[in-house]
Amino acid sequence: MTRTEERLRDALSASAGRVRDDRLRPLPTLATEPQRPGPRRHMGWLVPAAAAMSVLLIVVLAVTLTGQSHKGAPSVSYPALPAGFPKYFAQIAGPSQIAGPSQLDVVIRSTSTGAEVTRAPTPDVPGWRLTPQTVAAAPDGRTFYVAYYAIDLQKQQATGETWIYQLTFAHGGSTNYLAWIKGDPFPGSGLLVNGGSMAVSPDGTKLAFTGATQRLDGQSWPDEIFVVDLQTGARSAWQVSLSRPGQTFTILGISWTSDGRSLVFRAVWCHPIPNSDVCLDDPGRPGYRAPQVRSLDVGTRGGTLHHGSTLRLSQSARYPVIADAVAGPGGGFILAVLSGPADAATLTVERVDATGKRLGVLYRSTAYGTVGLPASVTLTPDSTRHYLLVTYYSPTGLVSGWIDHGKLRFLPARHPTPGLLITAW
Amino acid sequence: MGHASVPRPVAGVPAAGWAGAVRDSRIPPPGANLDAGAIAALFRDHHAELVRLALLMVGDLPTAEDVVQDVYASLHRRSRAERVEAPLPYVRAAVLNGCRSVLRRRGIARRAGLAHRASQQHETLASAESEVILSEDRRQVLSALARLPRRRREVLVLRYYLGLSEAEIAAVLGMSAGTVKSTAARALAALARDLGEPS
Repeated sequence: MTRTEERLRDALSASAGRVRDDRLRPLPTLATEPQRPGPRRHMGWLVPAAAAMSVLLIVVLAVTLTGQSHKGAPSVSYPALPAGFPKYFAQIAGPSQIAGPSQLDVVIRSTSTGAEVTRAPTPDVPGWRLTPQTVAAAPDGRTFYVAYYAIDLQKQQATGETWIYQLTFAHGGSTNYLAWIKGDPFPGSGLLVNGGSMAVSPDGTKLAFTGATQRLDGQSWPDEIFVVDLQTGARSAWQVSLSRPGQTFTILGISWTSDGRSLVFRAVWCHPIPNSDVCLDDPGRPGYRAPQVRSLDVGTRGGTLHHGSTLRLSQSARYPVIADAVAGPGGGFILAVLSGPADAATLTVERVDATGKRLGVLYRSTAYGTVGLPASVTLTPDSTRHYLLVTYYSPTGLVSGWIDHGKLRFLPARHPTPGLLITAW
Repeated sequence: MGHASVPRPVAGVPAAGWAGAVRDSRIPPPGANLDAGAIAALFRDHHAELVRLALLMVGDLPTAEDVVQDVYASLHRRSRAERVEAPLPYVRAAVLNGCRSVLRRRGIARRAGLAHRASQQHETLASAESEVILSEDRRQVLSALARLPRRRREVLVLRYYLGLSEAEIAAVLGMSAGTVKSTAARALAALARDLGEPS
């Protein structure tokens, strides 16, 4: 791009930038043009009759199709969305073109229709191979942060770095931008492709995500927490100090409290299988330690998780298996709890106070199925913190839906999702 | 860790080739009739973009909003008869037509001595920066852009503001992609000359 082109683009953006969406004069409400009286006026009854027939036909078709969809698959309904509902959700999905630098793209879709709004292929950086790991949504609901795992192809080593970009889009999604956030790359990758390992603070100024320490066997597990100031690039890190011999302290999901001062995370002591990327989190395994819910005050400049974090909840008769936990209102938590036999577990999403006292059940499913591993459930609050996305593995694949008065409303994405899932909205 | 050598993409610059040429399903499919609901949805989703486009052409926000509203009302009136191959380019073209009408009327008014205050500069991009504090550099660029012939100006705005491809610009302006390319090249060269830069 020439200097003239750069200056032109900058000047046009600055000039057009004074048009704010929320200050535009609203478009007028225009009524449909009335029927013109004429010689066929006596046939006017045909119009309402045809409309009634159309409605009847649609209803019959809908009932028929809905009835069929209930067989063997979760029912899919796209109700009218409430005011303030997130407009977009992010998904890591297969590429638009196989020949690209990565097999995965970040796709932003409309929550109302499921339509693809914009798609950001993985950056093609010479000498590096990038793979998108997870996405987090900013409070404005239309800015996303994408974390890529970057491997230096010249060094030929398994571990790499985490590169984080800000993804924005404009003009209805016809243009999107990936911009590097301030600061250097982060060592290793502690990000889970299942999401929940990166979150933007309620005021949009900080990004928290799980980091990883490389172990002697070359593997790395998410056992650290980084917080980066998106305005200055300043970063804080809370390093591992909670691992035990043969057991790696593993952070499986983080979220911000509503005041933006603390993080809430769920962690387990998993049993890594040597020379593999499998970390067993199996309640039936000897030596299994139940998941914990911890909080971390991010007001400090970092330190150790042992001293910096506070144990808030752990396994009890009430909470046999805490599958996931996020910060709830009033200092409490929202938990996804599995109970019952492993081959027919019940999934309950409930709100508890800071002491663990149950305040109410948001959603319950007795048909969770036979996939009993806790890591297969993910809770993802939306960027406004008013809605909660529940993602879990059904026997046929991943399912993502938001809780609406005790029911799970599926987002308009293909269900079950055969591969990667929705990670931000 | 030697990160200084990491070839990072330039922050804030549109990633070449990454722009998702994605059609929102709320936009009616090609060849569909533009009914009232589809028009409303299209304008709801692209209202700001269309106003910004008009602003860059006519120079002041109230007129830009008027243009977009007029186009909206006009399309709504014709909604039952209209059959459109590419709805969004069609609407962009309609907005540009509305802008041309405004500029034409201003030209007629000036010639008839009806322009009460030429200093108000309600003409083209030269006044697009008048209500905001822009750097001197941006003022120069916008003024130089305003001095270009209309067609060249439109091509540059569609290319460098909306980020449209040559094919998309061709669809909006009703010209061939080759003409878009040559027009853009000449416009950039003229702009560079005006700004005292090597083209």
